[in-house]
Amino acid sequence: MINIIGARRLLTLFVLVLVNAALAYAVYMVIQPETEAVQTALNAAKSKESTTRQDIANLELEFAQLAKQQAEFDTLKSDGFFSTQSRKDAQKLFLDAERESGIISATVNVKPGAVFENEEAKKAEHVLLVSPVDIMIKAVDDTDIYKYIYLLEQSFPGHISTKNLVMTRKGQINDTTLRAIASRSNPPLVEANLSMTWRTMVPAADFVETPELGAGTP
Amino acid sequence: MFASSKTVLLIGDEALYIYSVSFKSTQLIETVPWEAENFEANVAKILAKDCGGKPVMIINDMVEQHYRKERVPKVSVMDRQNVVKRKLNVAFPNYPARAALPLKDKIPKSEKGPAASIYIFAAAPNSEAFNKAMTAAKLSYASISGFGLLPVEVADMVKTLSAKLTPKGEPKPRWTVFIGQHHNGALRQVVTKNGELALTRMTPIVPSDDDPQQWASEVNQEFQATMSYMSRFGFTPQDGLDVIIIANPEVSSVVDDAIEVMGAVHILSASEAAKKLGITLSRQVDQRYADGIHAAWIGRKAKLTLPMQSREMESFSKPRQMAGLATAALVLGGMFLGYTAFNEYSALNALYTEADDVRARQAQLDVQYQAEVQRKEALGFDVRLVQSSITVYGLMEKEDIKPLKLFKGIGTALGRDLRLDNVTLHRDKDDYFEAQAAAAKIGIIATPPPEGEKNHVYEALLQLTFPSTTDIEKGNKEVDELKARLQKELPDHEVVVQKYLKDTQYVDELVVDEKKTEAEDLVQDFIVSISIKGANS
Repeated sequence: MINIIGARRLLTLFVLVLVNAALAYAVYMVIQPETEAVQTALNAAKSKESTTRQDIANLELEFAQLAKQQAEFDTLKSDGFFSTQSRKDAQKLFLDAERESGIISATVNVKPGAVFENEEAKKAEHVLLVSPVDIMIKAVDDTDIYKYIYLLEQSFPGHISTKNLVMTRKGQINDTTLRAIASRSNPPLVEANLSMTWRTMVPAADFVETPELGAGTP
Repeated sequence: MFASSKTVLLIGDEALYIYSVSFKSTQLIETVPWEAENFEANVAKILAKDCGGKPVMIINDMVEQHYRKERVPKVSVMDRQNVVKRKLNVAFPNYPARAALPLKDKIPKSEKGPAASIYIFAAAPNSEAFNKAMTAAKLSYASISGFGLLPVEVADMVKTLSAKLTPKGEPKPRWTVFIGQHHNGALRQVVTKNGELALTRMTPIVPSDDDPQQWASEVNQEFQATMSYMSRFGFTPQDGLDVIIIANPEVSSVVDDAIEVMGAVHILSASEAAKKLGITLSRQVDQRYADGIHAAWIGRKAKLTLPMQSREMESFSKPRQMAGLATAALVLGGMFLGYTAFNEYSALNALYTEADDVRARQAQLDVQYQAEVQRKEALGFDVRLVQSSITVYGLMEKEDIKPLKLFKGIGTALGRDLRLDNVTLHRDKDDYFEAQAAAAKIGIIATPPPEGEKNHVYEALLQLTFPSTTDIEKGNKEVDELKARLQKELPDHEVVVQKYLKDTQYVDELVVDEKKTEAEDLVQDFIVSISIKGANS
């Protein structure tokens, strides 16, 4: 072959093959894989940069909101939203409401509390403590019953909401009842059966092992 | 025509003429007699060094060339090549270099025979000069562009020159005779008919035109001999004839006087002819030599008109051609890869720069983020608990049905004269928290109700009693008015009267007591029922 095409041309061909091979190796085995790797890393870095920017923006936004939220949180805290639903405290509140509202009587039945998980509460590692409350009220006037409900809503720790209410007039205003009222014997003219739900938010760790609380009637 | 850089070897009878043909000019590099010592090595050296190893085109310009016009019957395209090859073998069985060139003239089908094509069959002997030239080319390691016969290859040049010399508007002559003396002293005459080679002659004449009369006389003598051959080939004066003679300008008038012919005679110097053909010759002292024009014309061809086949030449020209092609391909490949590498590397560098920028920005953002986190931690409370508890309480408030607000509206609507006997308030469905607890039992996550949803979730049933003495029409009217007032006080609620006064029913028990001395009048009151449906607060 050397005799036919010459050593010089053969050498040229050899060098050209080497140069091509080297260039091909550089392009396809070094530069392109490196480019792909750098591109992937760059995409990841850009994504991280974007996430960090968003996190910072969220933090700044949260920081601005926190001042307002802090005040709401303090109110909730002072209102007993994080209380463990002490039956003793509840008993006092029910008696106070009964006395202040002017109703004749209120028979209260606070059923055992149960723990429920909630997605939002879970974010703060808390659970909801829920106690059903049934009250049978007797009163001279229905406005006393409304006042009783109002006092419960205002003073009860946590959140208490009405579920059902049946209110019935049991007697008519006549001379007999007017005389009874005047003599302070307070005849029950209105009766109400009230079902309420008492909810507070408590640390999950405190109630994992004791999902149910004992019942209590104040 | 493709102007490329080549070395043209003109194989003459006495010597080898080496021309270097480039786009700029054509130059006679060397004349090497066949008897010269170390002929092959010297020529190879000239080809490799003086001519720069350019591709070599070998042109036979010897006296001994053989041409025959042959009829080849018209056959299918597939068979044509085999038929021509077979006839060529029969025509020139002992010549190693041979080839066939189809002419434009055809023989139509007649009673005497079938239709046929006319070919020029050409062959060159395997002379010592040819072998020496081949060996020299082989030793030079230059690639071989082709091997051809000078008269065949310059026929198109003669046609082009004749066309340039014919004044516009005049009919082009069918016959053209190109006459030029070569460096070996021989006079080469190339005759074309309709632009195709018809006849060629190479004859010795006086080597110098120092005696213009003698030179012109011998040229004319040879021309007249050619004319006699042309007559045998069918030339008639009516066909039209151009005679182109390459001569020194000083003797042109003498030659013009000497030539006697019925046709146009053009006497040009070598430089003038080259200019007409659009080629450039290097400075040539003697303007009567035409072989430089031939070499320049042939050297510019990308492909020979009639490439001759020779086994010996092919044994080294093919590998060299392949090597040349491989070299070109590798150079092109290298250029492409170099260009690609440059682009890819530039792109990679741009990515590196961008990555550095992103890293720098990320470092700044990390610092900023840490500062924000520390600022938040400095507040000293559990942010998640704050946000979570507010959200949960908000959901509870949202789900609350607010009975006092409802009863206030009812009380306002009733006014002083109307009183309720019975009120029942109940939820139509579980609130979000109850629904979530129920869903959790079966493994489903209940989502909070969308903002602004106002589906009715509770119902209040009001019951009023109207005395039996009430005028029904007036009573119903009063109920409608009560409904309107309720709707006004509770705009987001749906108030429906379920029962008017006209529908009577017994509501009081009948008790018969023996102690009662006189029977009480039994009365039957009217019961009115109104439904109020509402959404959460």
